[in-house]
Amino acid sequence: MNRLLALKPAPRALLLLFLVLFIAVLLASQAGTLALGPWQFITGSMSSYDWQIWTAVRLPRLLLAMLVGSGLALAGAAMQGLFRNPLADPGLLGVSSGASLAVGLWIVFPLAAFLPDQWTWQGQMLIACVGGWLTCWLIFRLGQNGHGNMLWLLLAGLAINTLAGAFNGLLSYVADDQQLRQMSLWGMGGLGFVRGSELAVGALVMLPGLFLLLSVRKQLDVLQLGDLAAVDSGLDAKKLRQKVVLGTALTVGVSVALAGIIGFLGLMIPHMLRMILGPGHRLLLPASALGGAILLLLADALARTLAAPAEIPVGLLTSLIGGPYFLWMLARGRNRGDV
Amino acid sequence: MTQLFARLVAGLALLLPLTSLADQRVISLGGDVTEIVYALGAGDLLVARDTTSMFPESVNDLPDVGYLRQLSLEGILSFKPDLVLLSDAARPAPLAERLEAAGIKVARIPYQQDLDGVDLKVKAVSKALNLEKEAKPLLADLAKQREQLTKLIAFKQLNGVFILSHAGMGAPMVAGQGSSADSLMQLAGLNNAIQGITGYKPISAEGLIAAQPTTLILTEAGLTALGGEAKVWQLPGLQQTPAAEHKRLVVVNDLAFLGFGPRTAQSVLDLRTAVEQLRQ
Repeated sequence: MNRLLALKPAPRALLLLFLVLFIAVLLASQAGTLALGPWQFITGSMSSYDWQIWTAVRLPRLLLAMLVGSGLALAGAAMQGLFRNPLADPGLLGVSSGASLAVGLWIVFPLAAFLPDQWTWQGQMLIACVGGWLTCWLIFRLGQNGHGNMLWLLLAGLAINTLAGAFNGLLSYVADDQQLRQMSLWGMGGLGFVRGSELAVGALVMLPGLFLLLSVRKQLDVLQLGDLAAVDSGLDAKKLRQKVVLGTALTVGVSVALAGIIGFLGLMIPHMLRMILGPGHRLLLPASALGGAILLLLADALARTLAAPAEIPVGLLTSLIGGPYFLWMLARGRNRGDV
Repeated sequence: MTQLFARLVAGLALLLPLTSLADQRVISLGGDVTEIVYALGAGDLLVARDTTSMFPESVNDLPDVGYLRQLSLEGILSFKPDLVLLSDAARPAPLAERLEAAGIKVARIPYQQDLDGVDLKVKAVSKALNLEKEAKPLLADLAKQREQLTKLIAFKQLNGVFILSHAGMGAPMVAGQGSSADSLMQLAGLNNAIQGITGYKPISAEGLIAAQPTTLILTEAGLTALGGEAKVWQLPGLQQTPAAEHKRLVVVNDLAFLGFGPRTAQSVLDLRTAVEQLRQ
């Protein structure tokens, strides 16, 4: 303990978060309809059936929760840094709604009718990812017209959100009952049906994105000093923007493909940690990645257990936790006058 | 009477193979599938159900593994079933494959929402449960009801409007062409007053007036949601229709009518009888 205290604050905070993550993994690996987990493993009370389920169902789920949680929170933190706007979030920029429009088209129009069942599922994942990427590319192209003005980019995102929302509304009007259900359930997010192989492909695409976002943490700190100061210190703002947009596209595209829409994580985690750890991105970015993993692990564990043997869509839970938290934060900020 | 006796004997004779099934743990996913399991007398085999399985009453005592289109793999596996009867309407799509990978027998039940589909469903369920002999009287009943329906003469001047549900605010949802209620209305000999709309869509007050329906059809849940018959006639646009003028309302049971299970054909026959009585 003394040694832990002797560390500098930054590594200490990260170490603590790692510890919490470890505990969260233990807790989440226990939680679910079936009583499975390290305890059963240690005491040897696991049947081969249980073991099979643990490895085929629960383990991929834990890994997915960590991957998606860290990706969304990290992308949120990086975007907030890039836009110097605490409200920036992959959802806000229209990436999620672009992806959901793509999925809506996939569900409503019988493009997938020729494909066997398994392929419609994987096709849907792919289409979500492509939808997210296209939106990112579009935002980026629109943002270039703004000549580096961050507000311009944010407004472009807003416009895309509105447009995608309107088209999605149109789709749900022409959709039949089943398609409507499918669309709305996809929009609530869920981690329950990802196979090991799909997870592996997702991770392969997403990890470079995570590293890319982590690699710009120092430049983001320089950017906070203002445009002029950033130019003075030799920061290539355009390149930084490209890196953040690409990193976000990779992480958020894969997250949306594998887990649907999981709201508020990218907004809530960075805010929470900024309050505790301060605004420096060198610490905030890695801490957000860890924090996002912790929160989604725990939220998914709740999603699995609260209504057992049925399940609550995890995206609903994160929004249920995130919405009130955000309101509370806004109310607090107004009293202090700094938001 | 003799028919009943014959069925009793057949049922008793089949108790023998039933005992070998009795230790099977079965989960039924899909309201129509579950109704068929009970109609075959195999309800005792079930250890769990999905949210859409609500009939017969006793099925509600079983644990609910979730909504048919958003099922949880782990929730189903936790019951250690030997057999899962899985409606093709179930989602997510990879469910069947994942259950089979876990070593569980899965019987896919076709999701075909018309009366021929009911037959297919009964055959698939009885095959999976090894109850093909028990299914015979049920299939015969269904065939008889279907035949009665084909003999019905279409009403010349009766135009029905089916309002699916109406959750307080907004326009009521009516059944247009290609909807299941549209085909059932036609089976009962009613024309659908709503033309030019496909599927279930909200309709404006003016649209309702223009359609001039002579008979209104609601489900029990729809009637409750609207707050009783008196409130129904006050719906904007409905007041100015012949249906409201003559107070012609038929209420059908949601699950029986729209479920395309073993009770659907009878429900359509009942609708016909009710409409005939209202005419007099």
